[in-house]
Amino acid sequence: MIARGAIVKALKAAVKSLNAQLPAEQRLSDGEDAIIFGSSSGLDSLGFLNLVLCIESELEAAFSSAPSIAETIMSGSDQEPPKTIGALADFILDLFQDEANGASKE
Amino acid sequence: MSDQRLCFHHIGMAVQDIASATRVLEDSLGCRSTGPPVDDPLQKATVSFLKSEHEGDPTIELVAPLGADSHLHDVLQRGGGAYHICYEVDDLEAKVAELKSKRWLVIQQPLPAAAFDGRRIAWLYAPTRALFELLESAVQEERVEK
Repeated sequence: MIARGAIVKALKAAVKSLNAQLPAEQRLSDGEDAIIFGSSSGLDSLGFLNLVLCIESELEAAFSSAPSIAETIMSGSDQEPPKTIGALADFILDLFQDEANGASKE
Repeated sequence: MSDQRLCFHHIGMAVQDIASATRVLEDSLGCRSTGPPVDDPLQKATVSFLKSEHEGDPTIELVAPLGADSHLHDVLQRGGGAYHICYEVDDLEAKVAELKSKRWLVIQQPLPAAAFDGRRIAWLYAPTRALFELLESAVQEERVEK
């Protein structure tokens, strides 16, 4: 069972990894309420893509598998995409649980 | 890797002004513009192609932002210059699906592009942090029309 805290830790590591590539004035906060996606995050379009890759890479490293978050975040789906680290952690936890439930049914 | 044909097509360079960039590259590199710039509202870009006088040299695509919300502004903000590589593929959907399964980010699903007479292009971001454009081959387009 994957713990939410472990996901938050991976997301914070992703933000840290991205921040290392950004000039000081563009760096993101890594608090749970920090907005990391959306226009108010301050990231430009390439920064956004790099953050998605950093997150998927950290999740893969932490859990040996990573649900694809890109599609949900990048598509204009019905649901409002998660914008903060906390909301994204909840979203990813749901994805992992859906995967686990799907696997147990097979 | 799939066995479908994948051909290098061009290097994309972000510029603020196509006319002045064309003059510089024609004068300095001896390449020649292949035609007037084309506005593509779907891609939010104006594009023009330059070919070298040496056969086999890569084509350069000059790309300038079209409209205030063009993503090209972000590229220019970061300094502009060469920012994407384009490959031509026979089966665009299949290649996009293959790359997606390899954790490439699909930025834009296939859409017609004015610069290629309506042939479709897709945009992807590689895990190596590089932007790629995939262009549907002319052969594929003819096949679809049939």
